[in-house]
Amino acid sequence: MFLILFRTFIARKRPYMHPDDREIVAMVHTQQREAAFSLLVKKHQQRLYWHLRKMVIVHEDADDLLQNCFIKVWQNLDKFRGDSSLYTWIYRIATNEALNFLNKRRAELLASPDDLEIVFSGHIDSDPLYSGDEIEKRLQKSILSLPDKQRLVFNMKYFDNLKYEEMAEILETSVGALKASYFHAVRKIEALIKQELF
Amino acid sequence: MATDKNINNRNAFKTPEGYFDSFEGRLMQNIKGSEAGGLSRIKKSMIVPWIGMAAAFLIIALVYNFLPKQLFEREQDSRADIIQQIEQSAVEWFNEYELMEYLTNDADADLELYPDSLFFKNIKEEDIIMLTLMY
Repeated sequence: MFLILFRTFIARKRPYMHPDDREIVAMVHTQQREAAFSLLVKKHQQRLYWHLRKMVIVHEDADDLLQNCFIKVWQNLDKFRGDSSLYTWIYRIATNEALNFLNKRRAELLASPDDLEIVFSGHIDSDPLYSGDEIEKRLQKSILSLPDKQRLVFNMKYFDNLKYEEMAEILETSVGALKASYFHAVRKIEALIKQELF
Repeated sequence: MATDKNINNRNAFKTPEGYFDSFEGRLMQNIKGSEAGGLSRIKKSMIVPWIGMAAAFLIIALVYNFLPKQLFEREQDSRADIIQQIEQSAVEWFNEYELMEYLTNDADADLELYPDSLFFKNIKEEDIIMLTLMY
C-alpha cells in the first residue's frame, strides 16, 4: 500500500501521448523512420505552418522555418525520450525557430531606421497572400506591436485555441504567467484598435 | 476577447496553390540533399588533413635535398670564377717587357718563380727560354 502511494506521488508523471504519437514513436524504434516521419509531417505541417506564419508574416520565411523545424525533427527523432508529447516537442522546436528568426531580423534592422513592426506592417499591406479586410489588417498590425513572446501567447490562445497547460509545456513557463501575459496583450490590442477606429 | 465579434478566428493569411501537397516532397529532397552533402563533407574532412601532412613532408624533403646543394655549388662557382678572373687579370697586368723589368729590377732576389707560376700561365715555354737567353 505504501509502495503504491509512493509511486503515485513521487514517481514522475508521464504526459499523455496520443495513440497516434505512440504508434509513430514505436515505428521510429522499429526501423520505419521514414514512414513515421511522413506521418508526422502530414499530421502537423499545417498547424505548425500557421503558427510560424502568424509570427513571421511572410510566406517564404514561414516555409523556410517549417522546413528547418522538420529537418531538426528528422535529425532528432530517434532521440525523442517521450518527456513531453510529440506535438509539444515539435511545436517547441517551431517556436524556437520563429523566435530566433525574429531576433536575427531585428539585429539585421538595427542599422535601418525601420523596425520589424513597420516592415511586417508593410508586408501585410502589400502581400498578395493576405486576404483580410481592413479590420483584420488593423488587428494583425495591433498584434505586431506586442513583444515577440507576448505575441506568441496571444496567437496560441486566440487563433490556435491552445489550453494554458499545453502552452506552459511548450513555452516552459507557468500557467499564471501565461494568463497575465494574455490579459495584457488583449488590453493593449483593444486599446490600439479603439484608438484607430474612433 | 471581449471585442468586436466581427473579428473572428478566421485566418486571413493565404498560401500558394498546392503548397501543403508538395511540402513533404520538397522537405525530403532537402533532407536527402543535406545528408549527401554531409557525407561528402565528412569524406573531405577525413582526407584533407592527410593530404596536407603528406604535402608538408614532401616540401620538407625537397628543401632538405635540393637547397643545400644549390647553395654550396653557387658558392663554389663564384669562388672559382673569382680565382679565374684574378688569374687572367694578373697576366694582363703585365706585358712581357714589364714582366722582365719586374723580374730583373723590382722583384725580390729571393723570389723564385716556378714554371707553373701564375706569371707564366699564358706565356709559352719557348718564349720563356728565349727571354732568359736574351736577358
